[in-house]
Amino acid sequence: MTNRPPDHLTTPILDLQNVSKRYGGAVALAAVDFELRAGEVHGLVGENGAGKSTMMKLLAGVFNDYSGELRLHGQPVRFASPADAQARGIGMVYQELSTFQHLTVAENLFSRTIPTRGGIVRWRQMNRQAQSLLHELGLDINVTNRMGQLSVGSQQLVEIARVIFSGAQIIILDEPTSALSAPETRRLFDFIGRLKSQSKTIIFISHFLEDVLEITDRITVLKNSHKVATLATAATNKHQLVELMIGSDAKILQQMYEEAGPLIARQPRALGEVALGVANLTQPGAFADVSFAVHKGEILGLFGFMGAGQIQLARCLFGAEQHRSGTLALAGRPLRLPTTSAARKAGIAYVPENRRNSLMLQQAIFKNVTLAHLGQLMPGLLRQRKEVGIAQQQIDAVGVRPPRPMLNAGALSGGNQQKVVLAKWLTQQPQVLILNEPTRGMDVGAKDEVLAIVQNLRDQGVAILLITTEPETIVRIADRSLVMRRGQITAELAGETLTKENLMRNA
Amino acid sequence: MSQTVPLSPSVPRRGLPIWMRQRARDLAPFFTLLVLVIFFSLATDSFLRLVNLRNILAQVSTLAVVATGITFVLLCGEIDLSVAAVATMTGVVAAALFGEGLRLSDTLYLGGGWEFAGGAIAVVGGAIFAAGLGLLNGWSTTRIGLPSFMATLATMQIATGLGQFFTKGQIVYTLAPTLSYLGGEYIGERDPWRLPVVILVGASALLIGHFVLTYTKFGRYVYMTGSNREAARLSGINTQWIVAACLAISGFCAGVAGMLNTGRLGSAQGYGLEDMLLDSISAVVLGGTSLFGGEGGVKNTLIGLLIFGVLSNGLNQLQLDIYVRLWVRGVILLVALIINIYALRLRDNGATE
Repeated sequence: MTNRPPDHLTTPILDLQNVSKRYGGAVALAAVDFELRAGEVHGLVGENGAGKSTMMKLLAGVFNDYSGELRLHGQPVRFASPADAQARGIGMVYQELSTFQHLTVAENLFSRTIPTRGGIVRWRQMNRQAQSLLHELGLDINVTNRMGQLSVGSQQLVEIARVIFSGAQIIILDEPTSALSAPETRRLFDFIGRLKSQSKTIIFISHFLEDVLEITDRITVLKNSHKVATLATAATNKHQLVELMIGSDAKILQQMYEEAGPLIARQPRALGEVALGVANLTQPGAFADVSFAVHKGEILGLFGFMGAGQIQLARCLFGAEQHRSGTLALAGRPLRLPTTSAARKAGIAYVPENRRNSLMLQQAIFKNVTLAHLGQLMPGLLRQRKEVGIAQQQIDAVGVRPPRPMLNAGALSGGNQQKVVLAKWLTQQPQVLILNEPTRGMDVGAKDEVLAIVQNLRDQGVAILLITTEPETIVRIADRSLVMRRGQITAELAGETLTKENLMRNA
Repeated sequence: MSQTVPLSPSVPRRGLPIWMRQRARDLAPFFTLLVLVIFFSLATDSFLRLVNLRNILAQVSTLAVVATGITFVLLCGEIDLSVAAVATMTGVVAAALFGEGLRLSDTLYLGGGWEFAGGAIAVVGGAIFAAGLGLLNGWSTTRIGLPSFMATLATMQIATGLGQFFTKGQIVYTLAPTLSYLGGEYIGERDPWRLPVVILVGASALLIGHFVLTYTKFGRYVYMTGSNREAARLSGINTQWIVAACLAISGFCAGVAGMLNTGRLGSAQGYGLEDMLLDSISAVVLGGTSLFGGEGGVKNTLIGLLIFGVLSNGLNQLQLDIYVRLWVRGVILLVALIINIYALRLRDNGATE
């Protein structure tokens, strides 16, 4: 199926031969072959955990304890360190940009090699060089501006320029478009085109298949640590990519059955009353015109890749951030959430995406559990025995192990910490429960337990909004699901149509 | 982006060493205090006498009131640099209120009733004034978003300046009798059983502080806000309000301490309390309360105050040269703080075993 690419694209500048990498017992890359041709833009796609980031780290010299061979210009090499990889012309631009916000663009560009004379920084020379460098790359950015004044998109372009300036011939872009608006993405693509014409080689790692299809020459698909295929972009489409990434539906069911226990068939449920209604909610830069309703006794999924705006949306629904326009309603009544305590009093519970933001790790478990509804649980003064008793009931109910309320929350494993967070919100039955990445980073057992608690709450009539970047979780327990992409709801899926494939296709 | 999850939850084992490790924050300062007491008892004849021990308590009593307020502020993860200035200014304000009232009642021929009512008005007025300054700190910290370090530094300058502006370097001798009593009188007849009233005031401040922090929801919110402000906020707690309240409490306590001090000295003036700021913060931190919030408490502050009092008093008893005393005290305080840090490391290593 390969179109014959032009000749200058056929020399491999870098290739991997039979490369494997294990983390402890877990295989992260299994016998991967990969070939990067000089001057191409090569897409790298796959699900979370498919091995993309391991491969990226390998190329960037983050680790070197792998088996197999990495060849650069046909010569076998093994990078000693990220600096070594950089010195040999491999530049890495991470999703979380590592820029110095309060320094100027020029200082950022020269951050590793500030020009000096006798220990004194030569500002004028530095600024002149920086400006001409950006000019060569066709970027119209004033180098004396502070990095923090630039948009995320511009910062990213400067970061790419910095990598090129430090001598990179191969540039690895990790999720470069996830935080960009449409025009910024356009600008990035133009820039990538220009780099290509200057015969730079680019690896483009992304969840956004449209972007990958638009900008790349070839695409490599990873799945479960294996390379599935390398395709010429012109000869493939989104449908084929999704299928390669996740396998055919029958296989998924099989796999999920093995991985996560029996799949509970989604029964059509009668929708209860609307618990939380969201109408035309907008927060500039994060999400726009979002409308949906969560019903009592329903788990509504919200799927989107990182940076789609779902976290800001969730925070607005709990009063932790403010939206610009649009309205909220709780059980039909207009709802205003100037503070998080207003949200708590209204009966909204919130589990943050990051456990560092949800627990006091150096405080006892029981204090964490009683915190949210302390006023109702402890009318009058605090009495430790009563408080510990309440906490004990709660942590027994959700199955925290070890079930010892006097222990510090920091002594628990991640899964058990998450159960404590849930226990905190269940001391009083919430009307609406907003879960943000409730199972991130958990092993299968802990995941099952947490999801079982969530399903149990649904059966008790709680309205649940389940926000996650893991499509499996939604397919497993959600009754309906929304898909968010770049701040907008792009699809609503339910019943038969609620499949992993459809979730990913719309995101 | 997965988070690392420990393979097995680490549960501290039971047993004495672990028990001690877990209480390292409380035990290390206690140990320091014990060592100091034993040392000074052996090194001097006068240290262990009842009168001297009573003097130590009296010497740290005013400080105890300020330190109670500072404890609230440190526990919620902020700092208050304005306490000494607020104390000074409040002393002046209360004296002025009382003095002006006295003059007014004389011109109106109101007679002697003013002494009592005016005393109450002066004290309450001073306390409200001080709490107001604290609230100003709270407002600039939470609403404006200034770091409390800067907000209270500004208040410190304003209050110091205004205190000197109003007194013009003069000393005011007309004080509310209430203050003279609370700050300078004794209960009982003969040494060593005469108990300075100021000790009772200091002890009350500590007791009330301890009660609020341990047994009320507000106190719990203070700890939780200091432990992890974002997590507290995402648990539906109005952390801004908690922080502002703590700074107001600190202002109030500083004001009370300032008025007590005027009572002790028998006069109000625009200077003289410069040491109070560093002394109170060091006492609280010496006791083991974290500068970063969430850990410690009034129990710790009590120990810290005693360390502070014993050290100052003991060095006096040793009759060291005045020029030697200051830096020796500094060195010992540093050593005590280092012991605290090591004890905490011991504990934290114990928790992750």
